[in-house]
This record gives sequence, C-alpha cells and structure tokens, in this order.
Amino acid sequence: MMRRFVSFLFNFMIFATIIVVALAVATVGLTRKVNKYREEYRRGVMATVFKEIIPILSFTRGTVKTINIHVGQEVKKGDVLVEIDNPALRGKIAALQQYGENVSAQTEAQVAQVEIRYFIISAPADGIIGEVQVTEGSPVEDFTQLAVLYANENTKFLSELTVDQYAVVSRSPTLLAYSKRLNQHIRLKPDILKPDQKDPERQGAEKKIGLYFTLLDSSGSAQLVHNEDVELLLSPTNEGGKRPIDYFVDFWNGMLEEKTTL
Amino acid sequence: MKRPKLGRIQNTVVLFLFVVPFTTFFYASYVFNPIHAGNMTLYVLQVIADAIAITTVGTLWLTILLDLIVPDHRQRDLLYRPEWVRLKHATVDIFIPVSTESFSIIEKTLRQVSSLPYTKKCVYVLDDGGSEKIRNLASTLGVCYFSRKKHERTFAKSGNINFGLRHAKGEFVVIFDADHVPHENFLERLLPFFENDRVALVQTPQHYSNTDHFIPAGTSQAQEIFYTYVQPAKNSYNAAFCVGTNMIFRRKALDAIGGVALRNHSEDIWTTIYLHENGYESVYVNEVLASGRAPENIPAYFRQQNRWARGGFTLFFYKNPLFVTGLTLDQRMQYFFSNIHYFSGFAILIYLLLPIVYLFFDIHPMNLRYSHELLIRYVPYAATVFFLPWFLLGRIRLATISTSIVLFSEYIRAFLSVIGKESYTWIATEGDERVTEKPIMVYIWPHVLFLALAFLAILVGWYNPADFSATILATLWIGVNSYFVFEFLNRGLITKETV
Repeated sequence: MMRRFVSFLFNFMIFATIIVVALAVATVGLTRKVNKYREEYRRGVMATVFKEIIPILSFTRGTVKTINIHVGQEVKKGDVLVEIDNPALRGKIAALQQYGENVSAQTEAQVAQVEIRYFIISAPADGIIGEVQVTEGSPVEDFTQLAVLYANENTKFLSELTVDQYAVVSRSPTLLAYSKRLNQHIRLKPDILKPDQKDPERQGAEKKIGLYFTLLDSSGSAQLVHNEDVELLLSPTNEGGKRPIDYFVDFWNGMLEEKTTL
Repeated sequence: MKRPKLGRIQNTVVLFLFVVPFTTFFYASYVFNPIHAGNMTLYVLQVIADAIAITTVGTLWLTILLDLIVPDHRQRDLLYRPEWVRLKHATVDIFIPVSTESFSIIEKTLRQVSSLPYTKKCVYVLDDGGSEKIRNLASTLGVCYFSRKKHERTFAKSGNINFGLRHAKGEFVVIFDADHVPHENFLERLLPFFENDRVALVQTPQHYSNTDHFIPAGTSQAQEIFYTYVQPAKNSYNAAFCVGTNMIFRRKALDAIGGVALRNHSEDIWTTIYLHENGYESVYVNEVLASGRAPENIPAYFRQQNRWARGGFTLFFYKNPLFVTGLTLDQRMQYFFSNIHYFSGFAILIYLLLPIVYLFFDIHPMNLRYSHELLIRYVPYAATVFFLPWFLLGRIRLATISTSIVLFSEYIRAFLSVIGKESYTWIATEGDERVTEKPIMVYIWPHVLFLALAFLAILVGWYNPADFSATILATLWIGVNSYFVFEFLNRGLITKETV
C-alpha cells in the first residue's frame, strides 16, 4: 500500500514537472511570437508616395506673358497653365499679311500662325503643380522647362519591407495605409518590385525588399504630395473581413495592451 | 531431398526495390545541399536525422536486394538430410534458463519440452530465482534442476547458461527462454543441419502467440520484417545471428570459444560473433518452431528494447564489427547494419521535435521559400520509405507504427548508458512477479512530455501563423505523431485490452 502511494506520488510529481516545463516552453514561444507580431505588423511600415512627374515645356520662343498657376495648385487636363508671347512673331505675321497676293509670303504667315498656337500651354493631365520655374516676363526658348506637374494618375508608393513583411503583403490582395497629414486611410494594392531589386525570394532575412504599391481607387490621389510618407498597416485585422484567428489575435493584443499601460 | 522453407519475396517488392534509391537520392540531393538551409542548428539536426533514416532504410534495402541478386542462395547449398538425425542419434541438452518469470509460464514450457519426442535428450532447468516450486515441478517431470548459489549469480543469462554447460555433457545445446514453447518437431527439423561440421548454430525465429494484445501485435510485425527478410538475407552471407532463444548450439563450437559470451545482456550476438570469428557457420531457418510471448506492458516492452539497443550500441562502440578480423566483408557489413539500426532513435526524436519547434518558435530547418520544391521531393521519398515495409509485410498495423515510434526514448537511453558505461541489471522480460516495479513515469515521461508539448505547440502555432501551408503541415504531422504516441500509452497502459 505504502509502495503504491509512493509510486503514485512519484508519477504525479513527474507529470506536474512535465506540465510546468511544457507550459514554460509554450510561454516563451508565445511571448516571442507576440513580440514579433507587435514589432513587425502593428508598428506601421512607411511607404513613400511617388507621383508621375510631367515636365511642362515650351515649344516656342518668346517671353512668359501670364502664369495662371502656383505651386501646389490642382489642375485639370486642358487647363491653361502658362501663356507665352512673342511680339516679334506677331509683327512678322502682320507684315507678311500685307502681301496678300504673294503665295510664299502667305505660306510663311500660315506657318507663323501655327507657331502661335504653342503660346498657350495647357495641362496634359490632371494633377498638381509641383514647381514653377519661370516668372512673368522670362524669356523662353524651345524646350525650356516652365513647370513640373505631378500627375494624379499612376501614383505609386514605394516601401522597403523585411522578408516577413513582404510575406504578409504578398498574401493580401489589398491593404490599408494611413496618412497622418490627411488623417485618413487609403487603400493600396501591391504593384511591382523596385526595378533594381534582386529576386526577394533569393535574399536573406536581413535584406529589405523594395515594393511599389498603387492606389486601388485613384480619386484620392490628388491630396497626396510627392515624396511624403504614409504608414502601411500590415496588421491582418486591417484587411477588412476578420478571420477566426484574428479574434484570438485581438484578444491577446488587448491583454498585452492593458498590461503595458498599467 | 526435403528442403527447408525459404523466405519468399513478392514481385512487387522486387520492382519497388528499384524505385527506392531514385526517390531517396532525389530527396537527399535537395536536403543535403546547404543552400536550402533555414535555421542552421535545426538544419544540422534535420541532416543528421535524414542521414540516419536514409542509412537505416538503405541498409534494409541493400540487405534484401543483395539477397535477391546473389544467384546461389546459400540455403540451397546447405547439406540437409532428415535421416541423419536417426543415423547419428546425438545427445541433446535442452537448457531452460529461468530468472524471475511467473510459475505458470515456466510450467507450460517445461511440460512441453520434457514431452518432446526425442529419446537422447536431457532437460536442464537453470533456476536463478532458486524457487522451491520449480524444483518440485522439475522432480515430478523428471528433468534436471540446477540453481546457482546467490553469490554466483553474475552475468545473468549468460552466466546461467555457462553454469549449465558445466553440468551438461551432450553434443548439442538447445536453449529456450522460459516463455518460449517449442513445437514437437523442433529437434527433428533442425538437427540435420549439423551434419556439416562447420555449422555451430541453427536459429529459428521468435514467434509471439499473444498478438491479441496491443504491444505484442506491434512488435510481432516489426519482428516479422527481421525474421522474414533480414535474417534470411543475413543467412545467405553466413551472418545470421543468434537471438537468445529457440536455437541449437554445437557443444564443441561453444567449448572452442569458451562457452557463451559472459555479458550482462545481448550475450547472444556476442556469442555468434565469436563463433563467426572462429570460422564457424550459422544457419537460420525461417520456420516457426517455437512460440513465445511478447512483453505486454510498457515497462516490460521498454526493458526488452533497451536491452537489445544496449547490445547493438555496445557492439558498435566496443567491438565494432567493421574492424573484427576473422569475419568476411559480408559478415562485417551485416553485423554493422544490425547495430546502426538503433541510432534511429535519434532520428525519430528529431522528426518528432522539428514541427513542435516550428510552431513554438517559428524557426525551421529548411528554407520555406522553396517549400513547393521540398514537397515535390519529399512526397515520393516518404511514400517509398513508408511503403517499403508495407509491401514487405503485406499490411502495417497501427500498433506497429505506434510501438516503433515510441522506442526513441529507450534507444537514446541505451545509447547514453552505453556511452556512460552504466552497469546493467537483468530483469526478465515477461511475467516478472518478484521484482519491484519502478513507477510508470520513469518509462513514459518523454512521451507524456511530447504529448503536452504537441498540444501546446498547436495552440501557440495558430497564433498569427506566419506561413499558413507550413503551419497546416506541421499541425498535421504533430497530430499524426501524437495520435500514435497517445494510442501506445492508452492501449499499453491497459494491458488487458485487445487489438
């Protein structure tokens, strides 16, 4: 009887030790995972806005007559940006038109008329003026750059991701980004890898992977500024529909949150 | 002329044997390439485990294949004339070494042995327990009873047999464990092999009659591979070795090597190796001529396996068969193959732990970015490794896998104690009544710990899994493994339950 009791006690103690050891290992593992989760996914990853740069050039010679734009101004396609004047050309046309019967003079006048069309420079696309490089009265030559337009179309976001983050991103069709300046969320989708990027799958865990995103809905792009940063929200909970595991994740995060604030 | 039955190998198995090296190479060439490493420590472990597993399967494969392609099967050339038994009519001593087995088991064996229809036999009960009941039984049955004095009881069974050899004077020595009951034709069947003077040992398989229990059902299938395929193959290289019971020794040969090797355990393989060293031959007859009982409960089973594993490791570390002069190359290889089987304990442990480590800590031995490549190579390999024993046996019982997986703890324990030169105390395999039983947890704590870790690993692993497919795979793998381990504990702890 005594021996059976000792045996039972011994068994029980080993069993208890096993449970304690297993729980300890599990705690270490879970803590690691939670920390990693907080590191990698909750703290946002920055993405830089890259807008398509369209240089506004002059295609004629003359002086700038009026400038209808200022930096940061939103323009629609076809809006008149800059008007150029060339009194010499206008004088030439007027002089040539006096010889109505002379065919060669008329031809030359018509060529000059065509050139006058280039005096009005309009926006080639919707966008925002990034830079104005001339003032009223500035002389311009052929192909002088007058201004820079950041197009609303083809806005891209470049982000440097770790391998783990890349794994999260490449699994999700869309993800949210948050702009602090605008205090609003924008929805992005992964686009192409940075062209000079080597194959990310062949890189070590330390290397960063440059990945471009595009806007899911381009209407919001007007508010974004070239070269500004937005925060990528890689947390799975921000992907819209919740998966069953997300409730578990939220629960744990809630627990940890309370602990840290206390 | 009547021939002994040979082990049969089916044609499917032959075909399959040619596929195994290709799938194995396909897999190994991927895993052993360090470019594909993930976490370096785990990768090294994985490589070790795979190397052991591939070697184990490879040796089994090589043994069977060589046996197939060697045209003159040794058994065909063996001299065998059944009438020789009557002509020679040699004297036979039958030893039944007894230590602490229960009386009913011993009684059954003794009655059967003493009624064997062979006139010039002498039965010796060698009782290390010194039991009065057995002495009385021996006198009623008219068999010789000898018992060593308490201070003489060294070297367990081998000491006991050598003690018996001092009293017996017959030309042949038959040894039965106390729980092995011979069939009536045992002697008539096997004695003719001794017409050849060089034959020193004739061995028959161990057959378990209690396969209605879970553990014996599993072990008997594992044994079946050994006795149906491995031993006959070893036999063709004259490397079949003694398994401790159901065999006949030539007394002259035993005397030439100074009796049975004096060891605390696995004296059988040592004796055989000494016999082979001295140029004697061994014969294996794949025919069940005695049936015994396999251990039914976990402590007995683990003790038995621990003993066998110790035997393998001791031979490997202290008398490595590769370097024993006097053995042929074939024999060296065959002995070596039997030894390295016991290293599989490490492989099993690593395979059990890797998915758990992955789920807990998110680190993995292989680079998961190539997981599809790994899968393409792993699936055929795993299939062939799994189906090789399947085809050999016809089917695999759940009990077989269960009882093989759980052995890792005993193999590693045996390894450590052999390395640490720990002394061994003999406890009989089955029917032990008088020896005080250690608490069960001493034997099964690694398995309980595995189950606890497996359960928690699945919980932790599904917290924000980094890679879904890998997590699902790891979970499945853990689930299957823990099912087998759990089933072993569940069925093994309740010994009365049937399969």
